[in-house]
Amino acid sequence: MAVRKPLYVVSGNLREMDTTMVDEIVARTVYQYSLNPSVALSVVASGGNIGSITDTRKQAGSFSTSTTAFPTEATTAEPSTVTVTYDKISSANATVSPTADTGKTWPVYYNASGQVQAMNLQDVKDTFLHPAIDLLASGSLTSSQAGTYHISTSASVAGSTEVSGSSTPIFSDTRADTSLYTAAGIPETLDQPTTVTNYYLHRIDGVSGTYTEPYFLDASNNIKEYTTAAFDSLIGEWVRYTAASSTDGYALSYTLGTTATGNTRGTGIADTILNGSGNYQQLFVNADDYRAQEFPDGTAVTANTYYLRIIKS
Amino acid sequence: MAARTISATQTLEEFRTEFNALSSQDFGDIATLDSGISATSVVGAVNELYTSIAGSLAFDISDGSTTETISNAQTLTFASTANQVTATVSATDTVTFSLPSDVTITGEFTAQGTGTHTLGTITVAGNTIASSDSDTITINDNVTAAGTIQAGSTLINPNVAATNISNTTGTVRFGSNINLNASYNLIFEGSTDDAFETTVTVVDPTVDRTITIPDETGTIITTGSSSVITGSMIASDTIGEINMADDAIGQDQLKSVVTLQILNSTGTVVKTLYGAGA
Repeated sequence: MAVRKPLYVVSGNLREMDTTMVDEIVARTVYQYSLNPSVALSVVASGGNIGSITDTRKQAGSFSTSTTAFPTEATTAEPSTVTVTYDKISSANATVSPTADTGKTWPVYYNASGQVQAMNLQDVKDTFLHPAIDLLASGSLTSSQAGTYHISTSASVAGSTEVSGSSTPIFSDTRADTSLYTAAGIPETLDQPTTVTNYYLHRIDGVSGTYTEPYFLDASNNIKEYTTAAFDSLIGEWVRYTAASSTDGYALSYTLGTTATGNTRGTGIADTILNGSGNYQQLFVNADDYRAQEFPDGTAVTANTYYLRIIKS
Repeated sequence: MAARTISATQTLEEFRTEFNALSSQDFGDIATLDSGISATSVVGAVNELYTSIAGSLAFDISDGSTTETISNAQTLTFASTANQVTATVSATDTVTFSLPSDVTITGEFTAQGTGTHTLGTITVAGNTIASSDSDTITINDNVTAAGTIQAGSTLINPNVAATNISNTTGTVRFGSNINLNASYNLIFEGSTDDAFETTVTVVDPTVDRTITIPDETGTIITTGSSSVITGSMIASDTIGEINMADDAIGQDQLKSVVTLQILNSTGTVVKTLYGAGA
């Protein structure tokens, strides 16, 4: 672990950046990542590859009928569970070919001997890339996590962009709408759900902050200040590469489900369901038609809570 | 000498005395006649003289190259020449030659006297010409001297092969500006009188220029000089960047040199910077 202090020029002198200035470059690295995340989630109709989650709800049991008397509760079908699978989030990693270190690619710093030395890739990882990935992979939802994703029950979140672009929920928690079931309506349609909560996938927007351009060695071995565009491009392609292809534990990925690995991103996705054993109802139609049916009832309970998690590995 | 006479009242002795005086003094001793005269009496001598003169009452005058004979009864005329000599005849039988106030000598003039010769207020004494009423002698025309002209300790030598102007003190001083006319230069022979000289010349000025030689002892530096300028000749804080040749300053010229190496990311030194220490 070799965190370096890049050099910059103040009053014509080369000076080491302080930790605040290094943090600004790390923040800039995050911002560059947010402009074109290399681990990108999208909302698909189905077949998403980061995990499946299910919405469960109760539906009425099939009604029973008799020509002599009302079917008993015991003989009337119990409400059943309807399960809907959601696999609407897909992840894709970009293929990034970052600029190779020529020996003079990265910012310069004062080494222990007081010499001006160009950082190597490991220095850059330790100083900029990995701290940026650490921020991106955290469970917070600030601009320091720009370019990463989170779940919200709202289709519009300040500082974030809804990924589908059409407010398409990636999960809808539904429950049986008990108000729609009436004895008079027997036989009621079995599945009469109501959506309790929709969940949306958002990407956190980046915030461009200022930073002090560090200095590097040009082809003539002169100490030269990066242009903002050049350093942004360099650090951007490397953070994108790191997030997508790191082999030293700093690649990002997402999962959707109940596994506990990684940091949760946003609201937990609750699958709620009514916990009643069935609301037995009868309907006398005529002397030859006695009907009974069990409707969903009970209190909503959470059957499962799913999370979108970001994993650094 | 008056004629001797004897009055009637004089004595014989007085007569004898007067007679003897007449004989010895007025007539003279016959023995003293010139040996060329053969007569033995006064009358005889007079006659002999007359005979001699009467035969040739003429004499010659000559200037050495021309001879004129003045014959009996002829007049010898002394002619004056204006501004040269004046002849004046006066009694008795006197010719006086004199120079007029203004004398013109048409030929050469030689005054052989070794004393002082005076021309107005100019005196010439031996080899010395001086003014009797001034400390200045003015020569209104060109002066050409075949030999050295000396003014005090200053010598002007016309010999082209010699030192033309010098001073016995070893230093010729000029009391005025020295203006070298167009195309003339200062030429230094140096310590050896040979075929090599150093010429100080100027590029033809287009306006008045002044080159000041400072109040100090030293050697003038030229564009041909090399390895002669020392640091003490350069004023402090005056050498600017423009005066430095590219790639001219090395680490040895830096004070308390400090080194800053620049390494690439693999630790290879790619450049070394040298700077002056504190």
